[in-house]
Amino acid sequence: MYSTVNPLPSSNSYSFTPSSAKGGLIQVLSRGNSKTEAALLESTQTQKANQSYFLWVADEGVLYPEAVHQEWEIPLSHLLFVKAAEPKEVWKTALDAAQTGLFQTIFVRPSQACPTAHLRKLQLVAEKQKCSIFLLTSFEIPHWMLKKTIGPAKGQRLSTKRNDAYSVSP
Amino acid sequence: MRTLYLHSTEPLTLFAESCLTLTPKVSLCGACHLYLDIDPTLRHFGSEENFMQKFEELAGLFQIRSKQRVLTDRPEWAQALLGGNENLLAPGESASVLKLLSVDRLLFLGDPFVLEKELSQRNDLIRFLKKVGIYFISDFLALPIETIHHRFGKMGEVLYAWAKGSRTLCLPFFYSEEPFYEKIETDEIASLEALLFLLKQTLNRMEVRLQARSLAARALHFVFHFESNPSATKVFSLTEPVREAQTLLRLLRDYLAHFQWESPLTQVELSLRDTVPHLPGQLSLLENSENQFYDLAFFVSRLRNQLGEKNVGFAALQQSHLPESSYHFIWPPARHEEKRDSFPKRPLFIFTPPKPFHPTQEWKLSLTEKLHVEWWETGGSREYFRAERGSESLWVYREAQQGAWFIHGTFD
Repeated sequence: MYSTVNPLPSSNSYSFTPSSAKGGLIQVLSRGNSKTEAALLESTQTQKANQSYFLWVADEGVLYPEAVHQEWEIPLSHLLFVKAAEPKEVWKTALDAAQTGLFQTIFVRPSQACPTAHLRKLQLVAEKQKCSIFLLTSFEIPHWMLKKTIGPAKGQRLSTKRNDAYSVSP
Repeated sequence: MRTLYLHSTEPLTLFAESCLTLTPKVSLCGACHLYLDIDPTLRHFGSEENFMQKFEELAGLFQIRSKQRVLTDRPEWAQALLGGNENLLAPGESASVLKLLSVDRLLFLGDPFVLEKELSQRNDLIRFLKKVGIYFISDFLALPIETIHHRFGKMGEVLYAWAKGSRTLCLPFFYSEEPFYEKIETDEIASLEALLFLLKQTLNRMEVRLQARSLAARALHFVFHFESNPSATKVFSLTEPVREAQTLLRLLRDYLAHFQWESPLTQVELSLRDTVPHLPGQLSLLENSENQFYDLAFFVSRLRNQLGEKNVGFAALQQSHLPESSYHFIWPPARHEEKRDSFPKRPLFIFTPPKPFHPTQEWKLSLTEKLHVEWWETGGSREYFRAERGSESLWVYREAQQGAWFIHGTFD
């Protein structure tokens, strides 16, 4: 019988560690419900909000702090907000933050896609640091990079060609 | 090597020490010529503009009145480029600007530590250059290198190399041993609050200097001078080393509140003699939260430097019914109040700034709430609607005065 706690944690995705303890990229493509709500719900189910730090990074706006305080269990003293000037900075900040290993959960809401090489880096760092990175995007991300997808796919796909940075192919 | 140069007629020793918080490569020549190599910390600050902003903040704190500064590609060109007040040149622009200068500026070109020694030699050379019809540095640089030594001697060759940029200047690093000491004139002070206000400036300067030397204070030595009574010396010992001005000010407020003066206070001397190396918290082998918080502080300060303090931080809630005014970003995080009894249904994501919206027939609008903006702001009241079209669901408002529509948030 398998134990839920693996005495020898491994980076191998077939190890017996519960999936919630591993990091990775999670795409949120929720329809009907709010994408943000779906991401917050998923993160609060897997993390203890009082013991870990959360990061929100976006370029078009911010997570509404008062609404989070009123309706969610995430304490604002554990949620760092970053408002970037452009989508490139959003992706860069998310990678920097994941590399520090300080954040258990990172919510990324960029207005544009990034090069797939950057996405791959983000995936590797997230898995190494056991950090869950929620990608709240309007475009679909290659499924082999994702640990999980919340919500139905829309039919848009991120180009995986090397030079197709910031483009979404139909 | 991007270099920021500042010239002042007043001594810059204390200010130079504070600049060690901006970059480790600080050089001071003759107490009045300050050189900062901004390359090592440029990535930390994000851009030259951010670096300059921090530099100006420090200059304001240390009351540096001089506006004579140059931002250039090479430190040996800095003094020569100082024509008027500010001369902040973009990367790669300095060489072309230098070439347009008069040969008189050769007087200030090169190693600032030997300028005085070479002054007469340089003056002779400049006179000779003008005599033979060379009036601009570009003309001087256009001469063939073979003739420079033959026609203008060793000094001509050295200046040619400096102007050409073929020699590299290595300035000695600045190291300060100035005591932590300041005098405060208190003739016109009538209350404790006024004294604390003056002390705040002094403590802010002390904090930056302590930070530059990575020290923390264990005791503050005060000497109070009175109009008629003899001076009084007081030592304010701290239970643990501190360097933050805010903390010291809070402690001093309680400490000074117990003092009674029988004669008007004329001057206060403040010195920090007892300092220890600054250690960021007692770190436990078993408990990791302090380490984590220290790392987080470093990460947040880096982001705040890069993206601006208004754009990064933990949210502190404010009493306002307007969504955009109901919070601001701070560091370190603060404790939060209890939840409100009632909170209207609002989206989790809000656009900053709001985006323009064009309501068409396709959008189904339903009124959610009405908000009044502050009386000093334009726009009047706002009518908020939930706008739905297929799977899209937006939070939009219409300004009462101008009738303009904006998207303030999204429920998606």
